[in-house]
Amino acid sequence: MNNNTPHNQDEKLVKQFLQKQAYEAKDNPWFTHRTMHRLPAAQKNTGRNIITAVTIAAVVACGILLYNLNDYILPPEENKITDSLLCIYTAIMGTIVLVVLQVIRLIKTYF
Amino acid sequence: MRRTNDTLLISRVMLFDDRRAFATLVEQHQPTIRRFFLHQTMGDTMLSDDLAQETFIKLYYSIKQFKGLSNFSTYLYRIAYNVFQDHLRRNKITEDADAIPEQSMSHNNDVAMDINKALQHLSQPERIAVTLYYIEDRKVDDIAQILQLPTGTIKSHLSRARTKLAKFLKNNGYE
Repeated sequence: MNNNTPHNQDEKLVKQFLQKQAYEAKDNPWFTHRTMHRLPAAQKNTGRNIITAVTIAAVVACGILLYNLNDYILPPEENKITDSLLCIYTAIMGTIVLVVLQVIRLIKTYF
Repeated sequence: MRRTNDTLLISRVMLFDDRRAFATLVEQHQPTIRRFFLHQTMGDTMLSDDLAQETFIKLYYSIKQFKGLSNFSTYLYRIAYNVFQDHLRRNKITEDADAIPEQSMSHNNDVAMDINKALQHLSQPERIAVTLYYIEDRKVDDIAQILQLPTGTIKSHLSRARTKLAKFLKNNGYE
């Protein structure tokens, strides 16, 4: 391919001129500060933060519960096993619901 | 790396309204956006900074609409382009060659006059296409996304602009 066609020469000339003489934005240390000041006041998401904290606590508690299930939680008496399992399943279901709520919130934020 | 970093910062802004993350985004992208506006306003530093600020504020309000399908900088240039269009509509700026605003202080006046004179030979879409292609090093596909025009149209803008600029430069002893 011939690099000396008028088209290529023009391209080279224009490219060199623009890249050499392009403006450069002078450093402006206040730019970001001023922009941030023009943003609306930050909203307090106390409700959201509480739900997030409760979800994390519930997931941790469930993890501990399941890890220690056989060793400590289930009582040795046969008749109490059903009650204990019911409590454990309720706690796990509650945690799953909280996690699902958080996932829905994430999806809503992104889409 | 830059793209991953941007994605992380955008997620923090979306999910937690994290102002620090947003400030970092502004800090990282402000030189290119301000430079983009400097070329559209013929070196008017104050106006360029105002338009760049408006761009970032619009970005803050619309960041949740960013789906990550395109590059973040392409999305940001798209906002900047819209801000500039709004500015033109508000001020009904014509492409009159006689209204040359205050020059950028970082530029030697002769040099600034040359680049201003050269850019004034171009229509506004041609100037934007040339700035993005030659100075900001964007691909034709990116420019098409930013200007919401077909790639063929961008190519013809660039071709016409190149012919006009080359003619101007040759007439002014730049060969």
